[in-house]
Amino acid sequence: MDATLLDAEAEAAVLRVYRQVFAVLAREAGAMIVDPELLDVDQAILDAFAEAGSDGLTVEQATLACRAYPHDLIVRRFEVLRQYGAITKLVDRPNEMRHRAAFAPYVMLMFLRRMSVQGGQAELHQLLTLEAHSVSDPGATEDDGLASIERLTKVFRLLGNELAILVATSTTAQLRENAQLAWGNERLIEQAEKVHRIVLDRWPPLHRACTSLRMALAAYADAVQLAAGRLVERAGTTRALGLLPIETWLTFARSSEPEVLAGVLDGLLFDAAAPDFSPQTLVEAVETGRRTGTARMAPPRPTSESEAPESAAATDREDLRAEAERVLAGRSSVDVVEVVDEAGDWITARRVLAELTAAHLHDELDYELVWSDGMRIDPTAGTPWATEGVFRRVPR
Amino acid sequence: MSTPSDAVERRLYNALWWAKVQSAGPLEVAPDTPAVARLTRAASPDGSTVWLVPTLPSGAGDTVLEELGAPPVAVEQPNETARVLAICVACCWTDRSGPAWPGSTGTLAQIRSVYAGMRGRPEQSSDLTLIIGSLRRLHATHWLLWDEKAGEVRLGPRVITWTPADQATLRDLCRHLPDPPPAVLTTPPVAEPDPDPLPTTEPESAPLVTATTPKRRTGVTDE
Repeated sequence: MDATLLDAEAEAAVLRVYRQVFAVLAREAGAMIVDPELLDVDQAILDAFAEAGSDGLTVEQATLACRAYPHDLIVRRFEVLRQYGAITKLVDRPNEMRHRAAFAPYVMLMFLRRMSVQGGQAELHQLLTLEAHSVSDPGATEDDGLASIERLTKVFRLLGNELAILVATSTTAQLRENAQLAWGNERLIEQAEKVHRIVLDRWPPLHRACTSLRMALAAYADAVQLAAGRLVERAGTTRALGLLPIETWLTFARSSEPEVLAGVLDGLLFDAAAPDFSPQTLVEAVETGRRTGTARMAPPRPTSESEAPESAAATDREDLRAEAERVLAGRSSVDVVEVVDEAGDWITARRVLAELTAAHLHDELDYELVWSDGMRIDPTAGTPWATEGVFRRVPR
Repeated sequence: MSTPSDAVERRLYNALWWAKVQSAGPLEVAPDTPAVARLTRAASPDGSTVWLVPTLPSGAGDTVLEELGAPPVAVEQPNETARVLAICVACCWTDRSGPAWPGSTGTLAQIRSVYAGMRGRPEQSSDLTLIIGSLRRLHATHWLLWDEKAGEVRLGPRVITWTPADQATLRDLCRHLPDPPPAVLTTPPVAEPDPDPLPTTEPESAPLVTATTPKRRTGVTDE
């Protein structure tokens, strides 16, 4: 079981740091190494050169010295290192077989190894110590202090921004992968504040730059708080921050070789996949079953205060009957002109007429309105023009 | 006794049984099968067989799925099935002072009666379909042992994993369900084993007594 999921994750994290470190130097995207093992190969080659002394090495000697690694791999890396000038010919002439190695790549390798441990945090710590040193140096000038403060401001802004953006936009899994950004932040901030204090004490006019550094530090601290909050919230009641997201497990289970899968599951006992019926589930199911089983509730009815109120149609009919009887006033028929004159103005008269018409048209009322051909014209009346007609009872 | 090769053999033996249980669920084995680490042994009432049930540490069960936001194993008509399981618990767990396993045998008539009682209405024709379907599902997942021919049911080996707290909850639940009518069994109850003094009874009853110390038991059967 040599390649577990965690190893793969760690490897990916290391590579990410390398990539970030060299992004500023890469000629084009996609040309970065994809396997951290290649660094081991590089180191082996450089180690071989260190052993070789001042005579240098030929390619063959180098591959022989690094026989722990595949031959073609060594040759390939050798070529790459030579193209970048990490390895050069001993004397620059055609057919020169011997090579020497520069010491700078090795320093870089050492640096990389350190960077990979904590994603650059350790380096940042040391950088901060160095900055503190340089600003407390008696020979340091105000410009040195300003430059130092500005550098720190930028570093912390980048740190804080990256984390804040991750908190706001990424999934929990991504956030967890990048949690190194949040590690050890207290000591980092402390150290930065120390530098800040020294600078502010020595060169008070730099207070403006110092303010931006303070703001950057505060923003970083906030981002760390937010990230921690999100991780803790996602961890649920188990508070197991190391609990991998379920997608990771699913992918791992689907894409693993049987041996790898068996290796992980070795010593793990689990139940066969089966539906779970916990006692709580049973209780809930019975409760809901009982509820639907009870007698069906009657739909809500109005409480019967007195007798059921009549429908709107009935009320309407009785209103019309009352109006008709009022107009007839006991008689069996009445002249329309008389009704109109009684009403006074046309506004009232037309309302009365409308009701008489309604009474005439109503199925259940025994009244009729019969129009004749004559027309009464009287300028003194409330309604000067009135068609003659009769409103009367219809004998049944 | 515990030489390295013994330990390796023991591990392989455990791994084999674990693999079986992990793929098939609880297993019914002969009672002289040696014990397997972390598999609880649930002896059937007559002692003729033993169920091996995986025992998970508390907090490692299906609740973890919920925590991870993963869907649980799907089951058809989960509520109906859970209700029928609750009714079977009420019917088969007659002695509620003790553990639910092995319980006694319940009948389909009992289940139907309790079901109608729980629903609070006379039995409907669709009820039987629902009950039988649920019983089959529960039998397939070892929650119940359902004998379809005889129309009889017993609690399955999975119930042995119920903790005392679970049992208290279920006791309460049973009190809320209507009491089942007395069981009328078609087969003789398993509680009365064949009294024939056959010589085979001797080694068979011996493992039953020492069911919790299976390592020594292998020695007993070897005699």
